[in-house]
Amino acid sequence: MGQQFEYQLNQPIEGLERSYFTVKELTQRVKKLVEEGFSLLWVEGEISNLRHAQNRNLYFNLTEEEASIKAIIFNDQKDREIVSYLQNGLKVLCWGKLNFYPKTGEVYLIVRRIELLGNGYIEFKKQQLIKKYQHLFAPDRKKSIPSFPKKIAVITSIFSAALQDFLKIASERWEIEVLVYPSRVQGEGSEKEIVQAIKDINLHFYDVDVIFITRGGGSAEDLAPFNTEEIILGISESKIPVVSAVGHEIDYTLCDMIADKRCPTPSAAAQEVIPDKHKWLEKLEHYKKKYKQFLDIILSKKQNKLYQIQLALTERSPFNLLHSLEKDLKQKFYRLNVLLNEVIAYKERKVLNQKISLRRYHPAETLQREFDRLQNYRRRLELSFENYFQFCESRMNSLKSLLASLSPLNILERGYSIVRKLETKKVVRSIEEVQVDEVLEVKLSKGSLLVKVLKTEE
Amino acid sequence: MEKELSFEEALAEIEQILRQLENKNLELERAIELYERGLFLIHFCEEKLKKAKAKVEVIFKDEKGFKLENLERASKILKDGN
Repeated sequence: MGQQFEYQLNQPIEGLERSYFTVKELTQRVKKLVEEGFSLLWVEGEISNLRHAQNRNLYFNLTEEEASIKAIIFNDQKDREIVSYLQNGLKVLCWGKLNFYPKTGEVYLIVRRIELLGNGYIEFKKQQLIKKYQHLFAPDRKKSIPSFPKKIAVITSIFSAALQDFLKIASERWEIEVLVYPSRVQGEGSEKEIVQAIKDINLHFYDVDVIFITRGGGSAEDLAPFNTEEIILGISESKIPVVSAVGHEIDYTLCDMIADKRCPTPSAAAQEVIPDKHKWLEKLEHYKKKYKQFLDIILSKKQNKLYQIQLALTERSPFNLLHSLEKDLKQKFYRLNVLLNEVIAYKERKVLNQKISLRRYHPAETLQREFDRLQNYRRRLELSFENYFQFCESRMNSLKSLLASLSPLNILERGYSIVRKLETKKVVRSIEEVQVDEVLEVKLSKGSLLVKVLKTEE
Repeated sequence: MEKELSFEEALAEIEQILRQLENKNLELERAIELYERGLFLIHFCEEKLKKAKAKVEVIFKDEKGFKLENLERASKILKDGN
């Protein structure tokens, strides 16, 4: 080969002899172009896609808007301190050489040195200072802020909104003397002014209770003076407690960190450090209520005690005893009465019973009874006699009438007659008893006859 | 006459009285005495607070040393470039 490899765009390719690169040839050519075309160079860009490979090399892309180039920091080339701060989005300046890798067809920037730019640099510097003065940031070094400061000093720009904000809150809040120490709070060298102010206040206004260092928020560059070594040392050397209200609510400056107290804004600093009289008036009102409450408790306790004593006294009153005795007596009297009545009734019943049984055994009573019995017997005897006589009489009468009815005379009266033997007077009932010629007595109703038997007939 | 009491001292005493009054078994006379003293102190603090106002001055430094100016004058001086 070695002929013409390159064609013009407007040249028709049909009909021409085709000469070509092999991939290897092309990559070698590109490698030569890239690696010889650029010597060691500085490249500025933003880190993206940062990753730590297992072989401990560091890979990332350097980007600028849509453009991007791959970069490597080899493990042996790493500046460990800086590398630990690298992160995506950070602006850096890299020094190194371009390398083409034929295997992948990729161009890499082999970085030998890397420097942080912008915020990254500021943050890096901050961290270095924190590391250096670590002991000064210890929480136990922080001085406590007095609860009721009488005199405070404010280091700030006299024309700043920060001072206005601060004084607006401070003015109606407390009986306080505010000394403003005018100082630049941005731009190069302003940290020296601030540190001088701290020193002056400590030396010449030693009755100041709290020093405030304040300014409004700003860019990282604006806040640069507050991230300096001078500030760290100046504040840490102050005998008077320092309150810092510098910068953003989220970003802490070294000034914020080294100060004894940090507040997010100038207004917040005034609110947090200077007592609020309205709050305290409320608190006093609360104390008043509490006093009243406690006194009421004590009073009611004493009252209660008095009442208890009164109660105890009443309980032990002699009248009480008297009343109770009287009551007891009445009860006993009543019971006695009841019992007595019961006994009397019982005795009465017993006497009555005895009287009744006694009467039964009285001699007159017996006599009477016996007399009655006797009388009774007599009556019964008399009655018996009478009855008997009557009975006898009636029997006699009946016998009499029977006798009368049975009397032979009666039969004779009706014409019948009785024949009797003359000598024996024996009544003749049959012919065999008589003989012819025998004389017989015939008894008639009126008189009797002596008759001779002439004949017997059968 | 005792020296002028500070707000802090008065407050400390107010709080101390409160703690004492918390004791329910306090003698009545003592309780009333404390109560009156407490109210006096509260009144004293209230008066002090009602009058409370910040006094603002600006520190100026020159070769001779320091001097204080009120805020208005200080702003003017600084604005006019000394």
